[in-house]
Amino acid sequence: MGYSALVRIVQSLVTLLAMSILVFVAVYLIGNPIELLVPPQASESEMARAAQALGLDQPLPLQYLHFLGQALQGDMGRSFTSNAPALTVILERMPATLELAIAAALIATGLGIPLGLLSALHEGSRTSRLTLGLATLGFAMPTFWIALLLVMVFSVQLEWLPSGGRDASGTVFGLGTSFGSWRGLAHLAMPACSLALFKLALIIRVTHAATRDTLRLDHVRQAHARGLSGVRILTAHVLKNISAPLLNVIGLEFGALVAFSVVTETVFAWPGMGRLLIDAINTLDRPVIVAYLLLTVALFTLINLTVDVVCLAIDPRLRQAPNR
Amino acid sequence: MTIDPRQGAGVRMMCSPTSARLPGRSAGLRLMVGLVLAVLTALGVADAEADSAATRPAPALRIGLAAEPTTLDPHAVNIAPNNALAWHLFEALTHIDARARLIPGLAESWQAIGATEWEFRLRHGVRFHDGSPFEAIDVVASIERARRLPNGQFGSFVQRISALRIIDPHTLRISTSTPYAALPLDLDSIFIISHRNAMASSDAFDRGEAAIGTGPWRLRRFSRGEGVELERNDDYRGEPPQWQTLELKVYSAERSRMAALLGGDVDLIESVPGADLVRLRGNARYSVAQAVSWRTLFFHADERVPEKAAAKDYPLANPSVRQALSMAIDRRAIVDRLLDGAGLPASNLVSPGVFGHDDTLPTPVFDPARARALLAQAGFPAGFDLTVAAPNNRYPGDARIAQAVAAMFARIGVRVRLVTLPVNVYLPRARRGEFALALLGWGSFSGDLALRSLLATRDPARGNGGWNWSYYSSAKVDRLLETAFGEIDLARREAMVRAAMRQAMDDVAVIPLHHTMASWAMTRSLSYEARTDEFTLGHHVRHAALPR
Amino acid sequence: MSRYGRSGTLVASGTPGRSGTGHRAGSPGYASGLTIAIVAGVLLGAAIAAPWLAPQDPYDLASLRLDHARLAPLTRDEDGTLHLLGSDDQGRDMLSAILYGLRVSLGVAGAGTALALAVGLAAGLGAAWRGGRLEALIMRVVDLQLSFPTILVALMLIAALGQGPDKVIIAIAVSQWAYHARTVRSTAATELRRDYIAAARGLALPAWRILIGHLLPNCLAPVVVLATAQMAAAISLEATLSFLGLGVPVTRPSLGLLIANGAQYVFAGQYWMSLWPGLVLLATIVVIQHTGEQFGRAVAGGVSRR
Repeated sequence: MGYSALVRIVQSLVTLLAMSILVFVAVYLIGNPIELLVPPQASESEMARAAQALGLDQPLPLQYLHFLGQALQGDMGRSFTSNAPALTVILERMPATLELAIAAALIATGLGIPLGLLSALHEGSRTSRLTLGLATLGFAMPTFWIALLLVMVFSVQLEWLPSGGRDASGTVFGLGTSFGSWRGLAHLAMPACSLALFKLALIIRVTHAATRDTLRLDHVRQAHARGLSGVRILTAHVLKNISAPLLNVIGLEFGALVAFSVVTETVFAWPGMGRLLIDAINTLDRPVIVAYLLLTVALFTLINLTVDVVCLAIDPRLRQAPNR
Repeated sequence: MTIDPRQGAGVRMMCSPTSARLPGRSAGLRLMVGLVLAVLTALGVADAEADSAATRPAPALRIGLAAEPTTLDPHAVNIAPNNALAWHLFEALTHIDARARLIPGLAESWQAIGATEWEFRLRHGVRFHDGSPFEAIDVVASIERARRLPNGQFGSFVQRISALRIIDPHTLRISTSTPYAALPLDLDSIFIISHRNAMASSDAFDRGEAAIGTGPWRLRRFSRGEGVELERNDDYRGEPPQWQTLELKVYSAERSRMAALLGGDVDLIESVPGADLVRLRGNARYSVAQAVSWRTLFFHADERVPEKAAAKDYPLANPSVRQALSMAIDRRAIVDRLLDGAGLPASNLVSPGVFGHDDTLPTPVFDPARARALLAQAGFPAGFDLTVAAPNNRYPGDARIAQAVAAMFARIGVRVRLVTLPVNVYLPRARRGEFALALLGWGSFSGDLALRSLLATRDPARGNGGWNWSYYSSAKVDRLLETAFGEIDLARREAMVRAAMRQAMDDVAVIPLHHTMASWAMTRSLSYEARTDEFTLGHHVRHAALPR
Repeated sequence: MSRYGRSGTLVASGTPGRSGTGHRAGSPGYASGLTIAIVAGVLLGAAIAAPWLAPQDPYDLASLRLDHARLAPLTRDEDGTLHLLGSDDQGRDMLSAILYGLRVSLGVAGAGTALALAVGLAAGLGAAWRGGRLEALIMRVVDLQLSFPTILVALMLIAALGQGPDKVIIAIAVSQWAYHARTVRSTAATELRRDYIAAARGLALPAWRILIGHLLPNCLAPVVVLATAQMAAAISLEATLSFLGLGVPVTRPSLGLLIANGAQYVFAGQYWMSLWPGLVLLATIVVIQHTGEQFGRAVAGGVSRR
């Protein structure tokens, strides 16, 4: 167990390295950041000077090695567009995105798993079909469309909820957060719901599919034949069986929530990391893109590791080596 | 839509029981019915007026911005949102008024005292937010910092300055390496900080320690990405703001900005989409302000003849072909139908009122028949193939405008390949000269500066023609510009710039489209003078004189 | 008891489930299936026959006129042409644009999903089968992929290769294969421990026969469910990419691009530009999901029969 965790960490380091190279090449392919950075009236000599100041005049491999050297000392470079350390810029945004992702994940799993289970247990019933239909709708509409509808109904028409922005004036354990006040929660409600909708749909479907398949497994049928109650079957067999695929999906999707809630954050003017990423991409702010994606890789690795460990704990079958 | 919005919620609640009775339909289809109802409801909703935005007490003003200020360091990143924010905290020697003309700022007057030397007289009795007095040494420190700051993007405004001489605390002489009449205008971009902060890092500004200027507002809180809180500087040298506090929030999406105003989250927003302006004009709760902005949209037409082709086979090298393309564009339709009136058909490279704008130049006429005839005369009766390129996230309606232009070209027989790209991909490719026709938007306070960057013969060493994607070259234009930069008399200088402008436009060096409009929307109790430079300045927002 | 009684679950019906793919004529399930089939047929037919059905060729730039722009549904333009569903901001007839847009959306999303599925299946099965280093390598690449934003992928492709539907297809495939790979790997890892695989190995069947003949079919159910979900997601993704200006060319709009273009007029009450394509998109996705479900059920039924 400890060994495999170590292997994982080493692999992740390699992944981090690969990612940083990828981003360097990607930004290089897209264009020269200098062209977007210098003011229009700048002369060629000024552009050259600016490029030199940012190290952009060096050949790409040299630029990369320089970055690597700095990164190993914990310095991810300074944002081209705000002149602040890239990590600072990202970390400033992290709490906002985390609370949005947590709220969305709570909504998605809190509703999604019970709904998915119920729809599979009562396969074919009116409620079941309605739930699955709802899940279908959750996929159907692009997030930006749903977000717009929400704003139109709840902000402009009903005036129940603020149309955007974040209110972190309330505190929990001394930390300013949206969870700390009603006003904060009101700001959080629509972004979290619109972000959760797609994930909710996915979790309903995955739960539903996994449960349905489990119910057909022989040991579940036997359990049923032995006269075990529905509840017992549900807890002892079904939940155990569906937990692995479910955890995988939830883990991945949580990662995706944290990393790429770009559209939602844009529509709701949520000051999170997703919007930062798209801004950084738009201005080819390479230090921010690199630092951001490296953080993301680390996050995903952590999530995958956690998911695997939890799966092992829940489903002992996975502990055996596959028979060859 | 005739659905009463007040019944919106009722309609929504009704839809499930009604549709649930439909037999033999799948849940998905049933939900579609529900969604149609929901959408229709929402549309009814959109037509309804919001009830909020009642008159608020004066102390606080909240503004919804379109783009995010990235730093408080006024010498670091030269983008409009940063500069707009900087104008709240800092001032410069010279200012630009709402009509894009130069006015005194921290300098009460200036004059050229030789071909390459200027004298600036500074205001007395001005104090920084920390109480220290403003003096010439602060100007020197600011210019030096702008020049030296690593990664700083304001160096180009002071690159022609060769020497600074302090005569007394309120008199400063500035020398330039060559005669340079646009110096006072360039100094409008150099914000004055206290010399105590000359060595401060950008981080020190962002933390607020160094964000100390002479401007009408003091910093209360800066939170990157979230917004800025400011409070009134009671010691301001000029007319103090009418508001005790000012909150600047960022809503980068047009829709959410609009919704923030309608929802009462902010009192004023900038950069209002044309369609919404039309709607707001008919609404008694809001007022709008609009002015032709300093930005002009136009197409550069690459005049370079490809190596293997003969000049007569390359259409864009022929001025009458460019003339035909210009004539094929229905600018009025673009402005009215695509931009909902938020534009002004252009005849010049700079907006009306801006230094060097030639009022006598006519807006190109729309005449597809004559355009076809011109093409035939030029030897292209069957049209030709043309790549038209535009960014799709840079200027209001950019990609849609390019598409409409492509359709207009198609109607005179030009076969268009339309390329629309995000600006980060577009700009580098356009600068490499990859597109025959490339859309560009340019904001300038001065026609000579615009002409020098856009249409002067390319000369990288002198910073001329850096954005001349047409590769246009006219000895006459170059000569007029050269002379204008050495001319200190304003009237004579402007006459030269106008002549250069006329020559370039007569040659169809670019195909002008329109000047964009800058727009603001606010609750009825406020008023704001629309600015050509598009800046939203909280200290210029006032109580409306009389509520109607 | 319930509509899907014959395929119903143990807990719900108390009888052993059997394959429930075929509905008897006259049952409500049959009617539902029929509705879906009809809608599917109409959509597919419309997409294929767009050039013959559409009143206007929306790709013909010369036919777009701004004075015909943003006409409400059921209005005639000055030339007397009736715009059944209205026209868009460029003067494109909405009905024509939707018919052609449906083609683009289905084509791009379908091709993207298929490509992602193929790559994901190969990677996932390969990882589960070989295990060890290869598995570790593939799964690390999966991690890398999942943390690499689609937008950046799309931007790179556009910058390097230019704009076009093929780049969107690649962007979709690149962003989705990893999901398939993960799912396939975890399903396959479980399946590999089952008796029938051991039996197949015992028979000394060649690896490819075990992989394709035994392992693959048993991994299909979750994959098909995921693939339909991903196809729907692909349509959404394409729309979002178009929304961000990274999608298909504006002169050849997809349903998603039509919605994105029309969204800005919704507030002004000009709903038709985004509502109609939105509804068609919705119907398309409902049909895809439903078909996928039926398919998944059929495969699952097949497994339980074995």
